[in-house]
Amino acid sequence: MSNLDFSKNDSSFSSNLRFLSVLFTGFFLGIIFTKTIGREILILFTTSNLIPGIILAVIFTGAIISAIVSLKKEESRDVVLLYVNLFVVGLVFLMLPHIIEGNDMTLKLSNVLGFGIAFRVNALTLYMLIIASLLWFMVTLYSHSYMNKKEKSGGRFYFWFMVAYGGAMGAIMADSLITMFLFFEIMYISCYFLVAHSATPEAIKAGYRYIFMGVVGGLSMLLAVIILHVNTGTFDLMSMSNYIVLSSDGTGRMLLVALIFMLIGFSIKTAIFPLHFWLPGAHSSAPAPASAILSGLIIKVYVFSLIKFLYVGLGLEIVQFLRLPEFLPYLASVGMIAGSVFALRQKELKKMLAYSTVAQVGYMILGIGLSNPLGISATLFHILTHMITKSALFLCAGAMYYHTGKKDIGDYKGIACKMPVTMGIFTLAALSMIGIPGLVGFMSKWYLSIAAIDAGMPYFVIVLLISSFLNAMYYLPIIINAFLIEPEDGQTCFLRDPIPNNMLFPLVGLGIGLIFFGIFPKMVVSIFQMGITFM
Amino acid sequence: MELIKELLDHINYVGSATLFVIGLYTVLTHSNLLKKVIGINIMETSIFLFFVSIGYISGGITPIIIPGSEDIIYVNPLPSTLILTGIVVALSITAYSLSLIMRLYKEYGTLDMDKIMELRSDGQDE
Amino acid sequence: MNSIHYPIIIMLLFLIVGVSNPVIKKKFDNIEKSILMSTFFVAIALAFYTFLYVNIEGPFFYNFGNWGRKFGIEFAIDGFSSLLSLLILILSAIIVWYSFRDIGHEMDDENFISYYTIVFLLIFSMLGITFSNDLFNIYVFMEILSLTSCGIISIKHKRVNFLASFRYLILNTLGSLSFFFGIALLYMVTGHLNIVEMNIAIQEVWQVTPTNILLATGFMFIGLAIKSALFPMHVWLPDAHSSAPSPSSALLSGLVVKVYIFTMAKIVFNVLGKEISQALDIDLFLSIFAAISMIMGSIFAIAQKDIKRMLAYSSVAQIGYMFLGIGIATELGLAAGFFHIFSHALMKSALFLSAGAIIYKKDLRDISRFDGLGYELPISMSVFTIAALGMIGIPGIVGFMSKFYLAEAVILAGKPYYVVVILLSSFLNAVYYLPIIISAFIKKDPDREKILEIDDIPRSMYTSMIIIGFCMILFGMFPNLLMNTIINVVPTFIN
Repeated sequence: MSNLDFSKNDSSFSSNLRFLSVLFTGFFLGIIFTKTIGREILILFTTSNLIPGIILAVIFTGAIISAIVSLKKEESRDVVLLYVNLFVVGLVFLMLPHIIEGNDMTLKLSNVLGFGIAFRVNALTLYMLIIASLLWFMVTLYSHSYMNKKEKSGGRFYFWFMVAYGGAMGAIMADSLITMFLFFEIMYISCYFLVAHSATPEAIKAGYRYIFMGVVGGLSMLLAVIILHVNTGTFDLMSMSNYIVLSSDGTGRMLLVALIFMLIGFSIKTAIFPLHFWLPGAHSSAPAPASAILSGLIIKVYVFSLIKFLYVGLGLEIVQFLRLPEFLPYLASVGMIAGSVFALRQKELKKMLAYSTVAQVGYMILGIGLSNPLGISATLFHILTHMITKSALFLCAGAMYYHTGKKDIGDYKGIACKMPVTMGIFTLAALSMIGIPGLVGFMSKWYLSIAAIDAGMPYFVIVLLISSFLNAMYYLPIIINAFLIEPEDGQTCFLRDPIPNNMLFPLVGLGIGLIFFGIFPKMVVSIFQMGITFM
Repeated sequence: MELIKELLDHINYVGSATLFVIGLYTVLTHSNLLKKVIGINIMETSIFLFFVSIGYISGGITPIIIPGSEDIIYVNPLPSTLILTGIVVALSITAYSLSLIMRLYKEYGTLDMDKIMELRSDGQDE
Repeated sequence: MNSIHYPIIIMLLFLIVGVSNPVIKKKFDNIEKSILMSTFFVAIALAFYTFLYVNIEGPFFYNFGNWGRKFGIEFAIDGFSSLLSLLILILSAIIVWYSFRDIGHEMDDENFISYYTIVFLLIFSMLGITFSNDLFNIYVFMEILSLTSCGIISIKHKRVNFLASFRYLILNTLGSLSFFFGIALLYMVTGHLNIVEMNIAIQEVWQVTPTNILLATGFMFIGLAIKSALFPMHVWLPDAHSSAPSPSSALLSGLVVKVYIFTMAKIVFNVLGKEISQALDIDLFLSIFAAISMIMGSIFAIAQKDIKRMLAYSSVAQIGYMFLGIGIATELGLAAGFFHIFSHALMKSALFLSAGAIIYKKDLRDISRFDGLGYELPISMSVFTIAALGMIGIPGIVGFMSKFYLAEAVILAGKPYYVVVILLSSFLNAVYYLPIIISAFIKKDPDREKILEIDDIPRSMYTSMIIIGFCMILFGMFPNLLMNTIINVVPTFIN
């Protein structure tokens, strides 16, 4: 493996070849594994409940190995990480055949944390796992050159990057409240180190805001978890709703308090308007790959967990008792509009994208708040949409910063001439945000609108349209300036972007995803019909 | 009258409580290090007095068994023996605190706690 | 030899080795170190055997000279005291192992051997308090403990140390005397000093002389509160803990304070019994003082600039947790309090040892100058971070579990408002621990490039820190290793 070190000259063709060879070696190893060891063992393995545990073990060991390797040699660390990521992707896909048949995988570790932690993989969880592992793989591929050139202390970054990965995967698979809480805390601590990585004054300030909001959110969740455990005697999400009786006696009131604190915790973590103020600074001051992860996935993990908690853990009755459908959509709408309005005023590209995330989280919360199956599936689809779109946008922003070293929107005039592919992907993603048919963003707006009409609240369609219009107001000027204005220094244009291929591949991959899922959304939606059995 | 009689009957308890308070007052209010140690000693003595007087039975004799005699009342010997241990402990504490006071006097040139604290807050330490 | 003698053999071992050492050895060399460590090794083996023996055969009483309960001295070796003695021995062995190299930095060469004499006597007296089933005996061991704990502060010949030591001594003696007065008052009504006999006598007389018992408990509580630094009786603690050499601070904060809390539990549950202490509202007083301590300790800690003072104030807050566990007076509450004794012993000694490593390497105590320290001392700062995150309550680290158990116990006992106190205190912990972690790992040292190097400190220092760090995560992930034993023991206190 050591002869595969990344050469200093990143844009050289040989290094790209090496990257490709890494990819293909992994692929062939997988095929050889399947062919030689035999199908039986493979089937035995793929149906075994251990895979969730193995995934987490691989990720956390990978984090520790990467930290050790990076003490010795920074270059070989990235190769190791790439292999680890590839291996995790492979493991996730190994579960696919078994899950598609409609089975669940459950893993209980009954001694951990005193009460035991539990994981469950079903169709929906696997969907999230696939999204997460693919995104992490692409971002790892991308971040190698970016981190080498733009940031220092890569060892620390990759360690926490992998720990955050483990936290996210664990939280997705979590089947009990305490498991969820454990991985939430792992995620927020590790993401802090990603947020404040560049150690500029703004990053540190944003980091303080992030981590103290995280602590407050975590503690209010902890309070809720404790009260729920004491009064229901279980952490299990599946059976929790049987024990929750919101009567007006002492216990009922305690449970109500618990649920309120849980929701406060969730609204901090998912940045529901008015508790969103930590998000823009945190997501924009992180290095670009980390921003892509934070905006593209981490926030979705919280949204996904919120769905799990509300509809698997509590059940529709309690959700309606709490009157969530009556105020959650309105909060979401305010968030959608306000996020976009704030985004309009930003000068820095990444900050603008981060405010746009606030707005997009509103879409997902709207879907949850509608509390009908269509709304949930629209939210789940929007998770995919926003993952592809926002990480593409952040990675493009990172690529532009990588090339120009500038961060402000005003500096990117005429950049399409120099970075046609990057700007092309950016445009696709922006158009998807605005909601041009044929791109994935249009489909999620379509589903959300149908859900809103189905829930008897058609006025939210208008909010969606206003939000789309606002999106257009801040995305279109960037595209127009990039394509139509001549570059100031009058340099010649390129056909191929002056960035290394390992940065370009993820961008192209995401771009293909934008179009592919825009044209064939049914491929994903069919999974939801399998998964949303709880409604 | 009842009260006075009650007090007189338990004069040893009253005495030890008074001594305890005097000692505590000395420790807490006096800034002289030596006086603090004296206060500690007064407190210790008060407790010894209290302890021994618990064991005292009026009319009792020294607890040495006289063979053959059944109905003699002895004084409870246990508190007295405990107090012997207590005195040893008190002595060692006094010795240690006196040696510390010597050191402090050498270092600060005063025995006054307030002055020492002043010197400390002037930042002359370290 | 019958294994019931093992506890007393352990204590004698420490007494003999501790006292004879300065007589035999004149120079502090490798032989001396191996003598010390092998003493610990033998003691830990015996204590472990005792622990197993107690768990299999059940608790037993050990009478000295077969004098019987009413006159003689008695040791009670039950599940918890054997567990606590094991903790004391293992943790102090790690701290002593750490101190071999660190004390050279802190004090003069000629004091090395006498330092270990004092430390051994300190361990001796802690074990004595843990095992004793006799209040007067506890008092005597307590006095030895306060003398030796002042000794390990004043061994560093600086005038701050003398001052801190003197103040500590005076307040400690006040505490001891107050405790002693309480014993006298109890003796007055019961006529016994043995805890078991006292309990039987108190059951009979408590309704006749409730004032006497309340007064006695009050005196004892004040005494123990001074010694274990419960707010507002904590005034001696910041000076003492911050000026002492780092291994001493770790011993004092990690272990010595815990022994007094265990004594408090003995008094509330073994001497008085749960019903009587609840009838006299003692549990209420304990909980209120505990809650105040939890908040005020943390608030004072926020204002500190010196790292060791900050850690000392943090101890004040953490002691509140343990007193709260006693004050709740349910099985789970007491178990949570005891569990926190262990988790705090691990976390606080880890914090003090890593602070000691920082002082050793950089001679740096000012928190605001910790920028970029995580790159120069990665192992020390990682252990510090693990412990600090445990204090804040991040799951996976032992501190989380004690908070969780305590919070559950509080709710089950029908006092949910204490949960708010626990969480508020956790938040305040975050307020003062997180900036240190942040400046150590994120910010940049102005004089140094951000290049990661393994700590340039002696091996004995970082190995001991790694062991403690590992234990914190081990017991954080698998708290049942400890909790099962504690849960088994607690009924002997409550009923």
